[in-house]
Amino acid sequence: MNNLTEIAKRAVEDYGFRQIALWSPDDLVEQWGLSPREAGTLKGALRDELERLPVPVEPRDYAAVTDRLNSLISGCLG
Amino acid sequence: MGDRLAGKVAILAGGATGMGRTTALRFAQEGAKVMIADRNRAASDETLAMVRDITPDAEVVAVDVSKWGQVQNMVDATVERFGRVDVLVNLAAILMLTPPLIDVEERQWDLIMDTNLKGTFFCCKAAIPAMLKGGGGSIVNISSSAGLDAWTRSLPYNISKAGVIHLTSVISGQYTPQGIRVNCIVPGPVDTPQARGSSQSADLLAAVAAEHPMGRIGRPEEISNAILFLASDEASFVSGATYVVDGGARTSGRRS
Repeated sequence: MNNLTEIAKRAVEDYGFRQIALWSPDDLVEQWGLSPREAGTLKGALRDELERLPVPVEPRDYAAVTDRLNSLISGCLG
Repeated sequence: MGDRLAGKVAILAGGATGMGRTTALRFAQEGAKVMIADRNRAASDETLAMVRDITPDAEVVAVDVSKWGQVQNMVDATVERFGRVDVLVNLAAILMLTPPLIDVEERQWDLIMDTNLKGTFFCCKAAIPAMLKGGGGSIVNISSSAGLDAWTRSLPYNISKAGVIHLTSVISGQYTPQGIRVNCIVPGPVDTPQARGSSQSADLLAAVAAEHPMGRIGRPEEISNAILFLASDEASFVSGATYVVDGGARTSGRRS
């Protein structure tokens, strides 16, 4: 789960990284060695949330958005 | 409506958003047949709908420019749909922020270089044979002021965009004799989703605009107008050139 939470954090703070997560997630699955369940979360529930984020997420909102995504990831991976 | 690109078939790699979208619209207004190539399918479809308000001669193809097979498919799909390729504009790029050199991760380097530099190489490699079959063409590569100046927030991005400038020069030397003009545009700060994202804050982007000699950053359509010129026959004696389109930012010493 650590890899996926780190990916989520970077995607919140860096729009360029978010673009990779949204549109070329297989590159991240390979680079970060994600498990099939993590890959499914990245391409499913997490992707849906990332797509809804504003561009950019303002720094003052990083913690709240990241916490929300971490809760989502925990819920998906158990 | 004009006819500066009448009958020409143009591939816009990275054509879904920002400068890609405005270029697709500008090209369509000037009579081009437009292939919008992008990995962002939803935005591609939005742009397609806008272009089809101008012309029915438009299509989309999904492509990740860092994957050779997808790039070759992009060119094949264009030839199948429109019969030829006359113009290629390489707009696909990502800007990821990185720490200083010793902390840059190999995977950050790879992701940026694969899209920005290898992707431009792949698109040229796939499109040039199709252009040669048609007797020539025009390629416009999009670099960045970060390709000329040492912008410190993303070393791999700087290097990738510098590479695009040099790639342009080498390809021009190799293919201008065969009728393919190859040029590069170096945009300064432009109001695109990428710029808004990489600024990390609306306040920071506003500060960049305030410090610009024109008191604002560029509009994407202002870059598209320069792309249009280089793509068109009006630039028939222009190849191997690098055009800085930054509203005078570099010459004023304000290079952000």
